[in-house]
Amino acid sequence: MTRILAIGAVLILASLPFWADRGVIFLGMEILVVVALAQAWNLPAGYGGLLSLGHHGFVGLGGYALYVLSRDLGMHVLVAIPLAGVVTAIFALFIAPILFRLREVYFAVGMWVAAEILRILVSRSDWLGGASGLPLSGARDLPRAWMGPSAYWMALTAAVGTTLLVWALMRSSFGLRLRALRDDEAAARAIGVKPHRVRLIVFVLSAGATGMAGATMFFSSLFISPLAAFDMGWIVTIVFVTLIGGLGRLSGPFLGAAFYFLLREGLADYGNWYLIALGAAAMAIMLVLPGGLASLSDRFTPSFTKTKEQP
Amino acid sequence: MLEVTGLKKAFGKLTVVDDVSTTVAGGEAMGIMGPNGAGKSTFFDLLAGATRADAGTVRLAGQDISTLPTEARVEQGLARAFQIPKPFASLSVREHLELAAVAGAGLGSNEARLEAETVMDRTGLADLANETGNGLRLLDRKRLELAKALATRPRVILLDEISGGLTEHEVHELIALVLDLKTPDLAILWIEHIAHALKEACDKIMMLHLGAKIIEDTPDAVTSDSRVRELYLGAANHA
Ligand SMILES: Nc1ncnc2c1ncn2[C@@H]1O[C@H](COP(=O)(O)OP(=O)(O)O)[C@@H](O)[C@H]1O
Ligand SMILES: [Mg+2]
Repeated sequence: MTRILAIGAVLILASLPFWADRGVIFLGMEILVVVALAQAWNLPAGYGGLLSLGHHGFVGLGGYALYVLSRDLGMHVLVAIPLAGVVTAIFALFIAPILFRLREVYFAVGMWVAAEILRILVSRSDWLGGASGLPLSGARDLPRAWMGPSAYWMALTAAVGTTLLVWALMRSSFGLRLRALRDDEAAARAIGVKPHRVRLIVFVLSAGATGMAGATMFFSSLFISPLAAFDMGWIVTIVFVTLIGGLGRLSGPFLGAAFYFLLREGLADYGNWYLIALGAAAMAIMLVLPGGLASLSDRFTPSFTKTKEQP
Repeated sequence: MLEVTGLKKAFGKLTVVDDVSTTVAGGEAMGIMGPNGAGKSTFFDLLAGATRADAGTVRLAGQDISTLPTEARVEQGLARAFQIPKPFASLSVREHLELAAVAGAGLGSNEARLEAETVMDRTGLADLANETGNGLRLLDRKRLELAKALATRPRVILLDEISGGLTEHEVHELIALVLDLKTPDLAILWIEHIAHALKEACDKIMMLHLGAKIIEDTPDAVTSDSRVRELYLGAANHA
């Protein structure tokens, strides 16, 4: 039943460019990118306890990878976007040995530092257009009228893809490994779980999905600069959306993104007030519903995982 | 099955495990006794690789596992039930055991499901299959420790005070279970304060004091040894 509803929802979403105007298509693309980003961040953070404050580095890297693949290899943008995700994943694979020496808060900050270093390196590189940025040379790969819809469909693919990825991983024994590690690492190792390997896999998958979502975002803007690509605003949005929606919940990123965009669009006429409203709302939700909006459903539906009380 | 030679560990100036050597064959059960703080749990830490030894080697079925990390030793067949239970807060009992069977014993997911059922039946956890780790009573947490260790299909199993809090009747059930575990391809090491339990279940008993091995002999010989009586048994019999 849930499955049929989900497929129906995806089909309706996929048809949106045929009946909505350009503004709505762009907004839809933005929402789906944020869903994909939050879902990708939730995988290591919510299920694995690996909190990163540097995922905006992967957003920017994915964006730049698209621009370079398109310019230097003449790759078609629709091929280059998924490949930008692969490039980002490979990058994550190489920085992981260094970052994994750091634990908890230090890892979170280490990730943020890594993202800052990336931004500085990119702004100093002439090959990458320095501080002023790069235009998308593959902008002519597609007819102008198809740009918006293509970006939207890419974003839909990323959002659905990351959701399916997290769903499939958490249903498999890999999900058990991840949750066990989050609950108690020593106990997990004592039954044979390899912490390093498990974390590396979720970290690399998360980076790849984030890079692809980032590439999709910057595909639609046709221009990329270090300030926009490595903007701290990305990670702030990702963390807000995931926490409000529900850390470690599949529905969390959807609920969080819905809440975030409702507030943002609803308060669009009042400048940056939406940020303050968002902060206040986030705090209120954290206080009243520590599990995020997704935990609301627990209050109204009986839980099937809990069995009878002990005598 | 398990060969330990010259195992040593000091925390600063305090020597906690002092040059311990022993062997436990497949099908054999060795009880380990000693007053609190004697270094028994630390000895298990060294065997399991939770703490790195200062000196000495651990061999499992002839293979030196001294430098392997905990999870690799588990794969080699060395499992442990912790003295202080470590259940996973968000995993159900069944999930604990499926994970142990997959990650520790290398089973496929279907086999692991069967293994989880078998182990739950064996350890009396079947009624709690869907209960999560943080919902369990202490007694059931202790059972789950043993069950997790069994689900990794070990060749050497380390049991650390798993009888704590059991009634006399339950202790007897536990002894029966341990006796039932005795098969030619499993070596059992069991730390316990209850002398009669070790006497019934074990082929030999090793006594640790201040980290050093005082005696290792048949249960009867150990419990009648004058040093052991002086150090320990008098106190334990009152408990
Ligand atoms: N990580 C540690 N750091 C310092 N001292 C420790 C540590 N672990 C155990 N000890 C000390 O080692 C001694 C032996 O502890 P333990 O092996 O737990 O004894 P037992 O299990 O025989 O009761 C105790 O004095 C304890 O305080
Ligand atoms: Mg102890």
